[in-house]
Amino acid sequence: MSLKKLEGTGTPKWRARVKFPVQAGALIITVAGSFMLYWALETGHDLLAAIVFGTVALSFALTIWIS
Amino acid sequence: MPLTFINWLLAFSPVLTVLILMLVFNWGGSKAGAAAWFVAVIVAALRFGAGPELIAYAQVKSILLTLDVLLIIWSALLLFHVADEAGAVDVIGERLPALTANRMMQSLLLGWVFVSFLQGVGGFGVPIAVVAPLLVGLGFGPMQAVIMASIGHGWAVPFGSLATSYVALIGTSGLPGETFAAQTALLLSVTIFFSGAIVAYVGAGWRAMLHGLPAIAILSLVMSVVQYFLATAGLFSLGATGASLVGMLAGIALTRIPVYHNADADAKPLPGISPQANPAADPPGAVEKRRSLVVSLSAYGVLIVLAFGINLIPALDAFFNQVSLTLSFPEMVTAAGWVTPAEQGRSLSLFGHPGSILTYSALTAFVIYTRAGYYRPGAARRILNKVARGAVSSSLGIAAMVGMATIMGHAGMVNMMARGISEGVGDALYPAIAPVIGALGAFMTGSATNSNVVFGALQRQTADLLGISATLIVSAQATGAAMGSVLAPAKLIVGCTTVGLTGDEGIVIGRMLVLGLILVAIVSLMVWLIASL
Repeated sequence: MSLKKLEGTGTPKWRARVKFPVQAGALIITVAGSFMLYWALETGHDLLAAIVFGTVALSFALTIWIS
Repeated sequence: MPLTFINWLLAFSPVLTVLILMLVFNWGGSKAGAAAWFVAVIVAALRFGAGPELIAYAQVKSILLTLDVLLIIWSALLLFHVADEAGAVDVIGERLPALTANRMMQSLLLGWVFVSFLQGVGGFGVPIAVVAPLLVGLGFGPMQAVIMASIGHGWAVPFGSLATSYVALIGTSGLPGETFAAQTALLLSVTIFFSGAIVAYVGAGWRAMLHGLPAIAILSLVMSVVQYFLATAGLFSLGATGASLVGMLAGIALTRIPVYHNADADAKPLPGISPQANPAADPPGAVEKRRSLVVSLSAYGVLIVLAFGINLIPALDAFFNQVSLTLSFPEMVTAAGWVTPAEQGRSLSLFGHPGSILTYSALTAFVIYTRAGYYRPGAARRILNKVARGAVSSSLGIAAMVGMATIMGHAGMVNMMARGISEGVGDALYPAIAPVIGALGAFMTGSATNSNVVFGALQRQTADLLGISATLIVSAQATGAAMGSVLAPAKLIVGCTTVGLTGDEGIVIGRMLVLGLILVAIVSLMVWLIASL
């Protein structure tokens, strides 16, 4: 039997505590970041566009980690 | 790009990722959606020749579609919790069955009509969670209660939840909602009748169901006609709410007839799902009597008045729809030559959007309930907390899956999937398969909205390639997804938890599947017959 099962739960308390704030943050970054991405693309700021897209991708990675 | 098995499989891989992660590994929608988004980006870039600019623009376009859906989800949850915190939902649920001693009619009123009303105004698992305990409180077995509440509200899914899943399908299929509203409403009218019959059978047995057929037929007709007219008038968000409200009035009128008012001698519990003591249920009468039914219903009354007013009175329509948010997108071409023409992204009316109307209704209802003294101190904080915690995870899932679907569309991956299916299945059989695809997507992802997002564009493009009516196939997707969503383990687990069946979900799902697949098969047959005409 795994240690997690012996402990009775697989979710550490700190993770459960931060889940909602992290998910809310990821959602805000995804929405706001996408609009910033549009502005960067339209104005030709390619480096900024790449950074913003990377941040949006990071928010999805955070979602996978915390959910 | 040539259609080969490898290319088709790679095009399908993001969808496959969602399905495998959710079904095999039990991941939630947000987690699986985010993983599939990465798969879509990688495959689009490395195999389908999508450049960074194309992927970035597709991501921006997907956020407009996402916001269109999220505005409704957040405000629908706000309205529901404003009413629920005031005790209004319990009052409505308790007063309805007190009108009749007839088990079959009680089954229909709560497990078919009222649960659909809740789907109309709330959704997201709320109908089962609210109605299943109410049914148990009336003496139905926990398993009976979960099955009735689940099967009973499937027809209300496309135009329910303020049409969240329908709006998502409009976005991903690229078809205006008005073009496939009539066919969707017609397909749903068949499922209204059969779901009512199944609820009566599960609640009271064969003989009682047969005696109840006239009532089921009358209520089905009333709800079908109302939903059809609301949907075809462009009032998608009110389709299920309006139909079930009128259905409730018609059901109350039917309980005045002695055969549907007095206790029915024919009612028998079904073997295997018979009533039993349920520790999770409140006894009937537990809801405070001092709350008025009329005041309790006011939240939804305000919604109906505002939605009808803003949508049907031209001056109000023009006033509320003055400010819109939209973005222009350039033409985009992949290295493989797939072209997405320049276009305006989805337009969001900031003050006339269904989500805005819901918010006005929620604020008005909050004032009414506050003045009536229905809230305990701290209600506003509790309501906002429940809304935020209830919506964040599903919002992330929708954002990720819409992003995945949009990137796939812009990279030509959806077209590749559609070409593979059209050549493999053929135009004769595809109409029967289309609802099954929708049902499968909803069953596995736990949501009709998710299914519509993932498969909407695929269904549209496959129909175009096969020369079948795209509106019929997209309607089949909407209806199939609705039938599949009520069978989804994710929703049934919520229902089981509320009636003390935790741990028995597998047995409930097994019994549900038989009944639910009857509905999916009926829809498939209907679509195939219409396509063959």
